[in-house]
Amino acid sequence: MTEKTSKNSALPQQEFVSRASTVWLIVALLMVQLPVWQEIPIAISAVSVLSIVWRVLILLGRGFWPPTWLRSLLVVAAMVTVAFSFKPLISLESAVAVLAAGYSLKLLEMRSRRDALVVVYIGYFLIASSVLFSQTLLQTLYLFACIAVLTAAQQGLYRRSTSIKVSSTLRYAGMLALQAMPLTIILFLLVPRIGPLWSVPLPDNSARTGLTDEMTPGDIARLSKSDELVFRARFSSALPAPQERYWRAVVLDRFDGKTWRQSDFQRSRVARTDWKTNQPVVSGWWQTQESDFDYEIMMEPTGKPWLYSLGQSASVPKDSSLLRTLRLEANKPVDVRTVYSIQPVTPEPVSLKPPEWLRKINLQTPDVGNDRSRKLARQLWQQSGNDAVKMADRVMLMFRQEPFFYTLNPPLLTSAGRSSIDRFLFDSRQGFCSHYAGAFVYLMRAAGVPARVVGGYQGGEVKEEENLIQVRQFDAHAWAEIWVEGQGWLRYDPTAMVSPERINSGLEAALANEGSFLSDSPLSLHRYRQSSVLNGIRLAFEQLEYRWQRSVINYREEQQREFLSSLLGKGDLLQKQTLALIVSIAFLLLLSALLLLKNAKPASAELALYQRFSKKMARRGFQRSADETELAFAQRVSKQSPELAAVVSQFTSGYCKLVYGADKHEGIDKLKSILRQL
Amino acid sequence: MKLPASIKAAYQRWLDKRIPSASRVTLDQSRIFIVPTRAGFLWLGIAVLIFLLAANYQNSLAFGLTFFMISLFMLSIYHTWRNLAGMTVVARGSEQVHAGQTTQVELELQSEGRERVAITIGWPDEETTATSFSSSKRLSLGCRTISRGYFQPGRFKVESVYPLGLCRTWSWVKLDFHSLIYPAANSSRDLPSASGEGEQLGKATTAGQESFAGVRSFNSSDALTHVDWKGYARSGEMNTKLFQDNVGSDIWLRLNETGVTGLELQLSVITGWCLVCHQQLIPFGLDLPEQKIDPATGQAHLEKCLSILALCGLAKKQSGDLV
Repeated sequence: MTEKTSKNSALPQQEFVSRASTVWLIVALLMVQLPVWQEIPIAISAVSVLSIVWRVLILLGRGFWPPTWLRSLLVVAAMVTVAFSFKPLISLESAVAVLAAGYSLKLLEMRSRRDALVVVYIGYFLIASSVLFSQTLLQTLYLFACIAVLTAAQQGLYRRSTSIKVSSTLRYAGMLALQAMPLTIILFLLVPRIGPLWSVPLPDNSARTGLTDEMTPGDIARLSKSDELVFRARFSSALPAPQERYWRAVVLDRFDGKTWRQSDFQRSRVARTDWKTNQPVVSGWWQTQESDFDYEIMMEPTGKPWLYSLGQSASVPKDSSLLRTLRLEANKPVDVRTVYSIQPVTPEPVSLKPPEWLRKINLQTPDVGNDRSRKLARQLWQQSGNDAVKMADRVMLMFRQEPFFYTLNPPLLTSAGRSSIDRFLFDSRQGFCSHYAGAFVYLMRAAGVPARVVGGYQGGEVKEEENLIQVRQFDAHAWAEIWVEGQGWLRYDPTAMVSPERINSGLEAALANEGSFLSDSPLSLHRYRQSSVLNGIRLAFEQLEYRWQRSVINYREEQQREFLSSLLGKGDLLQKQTLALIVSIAFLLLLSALLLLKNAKPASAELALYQRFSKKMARRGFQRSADETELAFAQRVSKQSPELAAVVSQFTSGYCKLVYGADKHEGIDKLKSILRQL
Repeated sequence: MKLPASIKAAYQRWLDKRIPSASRVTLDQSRIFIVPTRAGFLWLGIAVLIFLLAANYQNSLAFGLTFFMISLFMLSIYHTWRNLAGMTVVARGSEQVHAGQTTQVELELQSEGRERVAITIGWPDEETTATSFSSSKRLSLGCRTISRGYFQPGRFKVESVYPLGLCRTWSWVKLDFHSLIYPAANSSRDLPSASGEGEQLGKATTAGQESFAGVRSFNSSDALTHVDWKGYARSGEMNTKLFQDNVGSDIWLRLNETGVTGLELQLSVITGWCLVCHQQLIPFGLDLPEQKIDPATGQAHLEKCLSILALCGLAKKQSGDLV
């Protein structure tokens, strides 16, 4: 088995990259780019594809290494693309594009091991940047696979043999990754988390579907096509009844005849403290409804500042404020998944009279247009004896008794110009929540009752076992609130009059006849709620995902402090934490040392036999030193205790013949029988 | 020793044939060093960068990735170390050559239970080779010899960065060899004339009687003793010397007849003479201060003489213990 040595005294850094490694790196490139492909400009993706095809051609022996001028040209092209694709230039997305371009182009000049290592390291950066965009469970599992492939590639760089099976390489890399997990988990739990050190560009959420602070009929119809998650609310108290599940987000109190908008108090001449507060408000802000709900909301990033609350909020979560309109707003746009909790509030009854400026806002209507509606409003106001509640009831009754229809595909009202309310109330009579809420508020205002449209979500899917309500985009809804002297803001939902199913059973039930529920996304699992197996899988997965988000993804400074103090007890937490960290790392390292280093299983039966022999000799007081051959040991033993000599030398010569000789399998049983004599 | 004589003899014969004068080194804790490579430091640097990213974005998975990278680094210390630990290097001997020539060193690597991957072994200044094996593996490495005597190559390096290249583990191994390195052959001086000093032994000898007929290229059936070794050393062409008439007149080779000073030089000259005499089938004897070898011819005689010259004036054993 003598191997002739090759005259290869080159330094390891200059060694060539094996074909297997190249293939692994190409696969890794495809895999790590997949989660962020939407953030990468098409031109950069084209450069990636070009690089991969070119590299594969080289691999197949049909291509040539691109000359320097071509590579420089590609680099310049990529950089120009990045420079023109991103405004502002310094953003997370542009960084990802640069990394992706770097990875691809480096493939084209990856000739030495060092180049290949650079590629692997860029791969890790790409993984790190893709988790900034999404941290779901599936994404995590996928990235773990990416890491395994990168590790396989890296491992292949140092392995010379090219004839190693893909599965065994992958298994080895996966095993390495799994072995690293215990320490990873310990570090994850115990290393003190630090807050942001400097401000960084956040993921661009502007293209996300979600509520806006403008309501033009049509927006909510768009939202209803999406089954994207909006937030999850976990209740410490009892769950609210279905008709109580109104999640407020925006208050739309300005109407220009076509669109409902949110007032910008910042621009009005109202003093800041008069419309915004950071303190929980018990009295004076017309919080009139008692709220016993104690819940925590984990919301997906929206890129918008508003937070969701069940009904009118009075409690103020951290880093946010309460506005006069009784909605919550975070101090900065929600660009990352955020968790906040809302405590129950019992308002004190106080004199209920809104300031004049707010009253004026909630009575505003455009000066022209919608004449028939104005007339109707005045008529109803007189019939109800100038009573706001009675007036509202009459409007609700009108929606119920007259032929109004609930549909997501109503006729367009754009041609109606400034009289869209008239067109809806008297002609088309088809629409969904925003049409009904808008018309209701308009009628109330025309009659002189302060009213406003509230946008948010209604309903949600209940998960009993977790005491959780999960709200998705198709739960988007709009309803109305009117001001009643002595009672404050009261909620009216005219949609409930037209389609009670929408409120009690959700959008799907409301659209049962129309068949338009999620009609644009045939693959959405939510379309298949009737299939019990599919639905069971979906529910189980969602539950897992929620737990993952809540426990792992949301594990920040504060959660760490809470978790560790429950684990280690109160007191000087940092000191205990450091101690726990050191002790557990030491323990783990020791354990892995024992498992990895001591567990050297003998490769062959003869070696196992020899170890048994060594043990028997050790019991008799003979220890073979590290630099003693088997034969020398046998001679020494024979000299020192001649009664053993025969057996020992017989065994040793038999063993040596087995190990070094040509006849492999003959003597092993004989050897065993000799060993038995000892 | 109560071994039956027949078993003992068989055992010895087998031993001589199979493991000629092997000495072995098992790489254990005290012999292995390990430090991170440049790539390893870069890896940690990237982990720190991702940590900063994670802190600034408050991103748990990015934190997880950082910690994973650090854990993988720690783990790779074990795996790299484990690739070398417990491995045994056995010296299986080397070719006997003259000082200054390159000898092929035969090594055997024994795994002792683990698969060993991408282990680089060799003298960094000379020849290194990389190998992977799972139970045992024979290697032959070229090593330049420097001085005569027992072959004592400098320490050679056994090294590995497998699996991830984040750490480098290595050991400097010194093995004992039994092979002798003969003195360098110096053939610049003519053979001493046998007649001049012949009276000491009372035997008249005549030199230069052989009729050297020339050379032709070597055939595999030619006797090795007729190979033109000198020419081979000069040009690399293997030629056979042709003789018409062989005259066996004894020559005594003595240190003080070499015409040079210094023991090493003198030994070189005598070595050269030995080779010439051996080629030309002239019986030659050694007359050294410590030892005297009667004139004779033949391969065994030549090897005996060269061995004596190799060890002349050296302490009996300068390298480590022989097993």
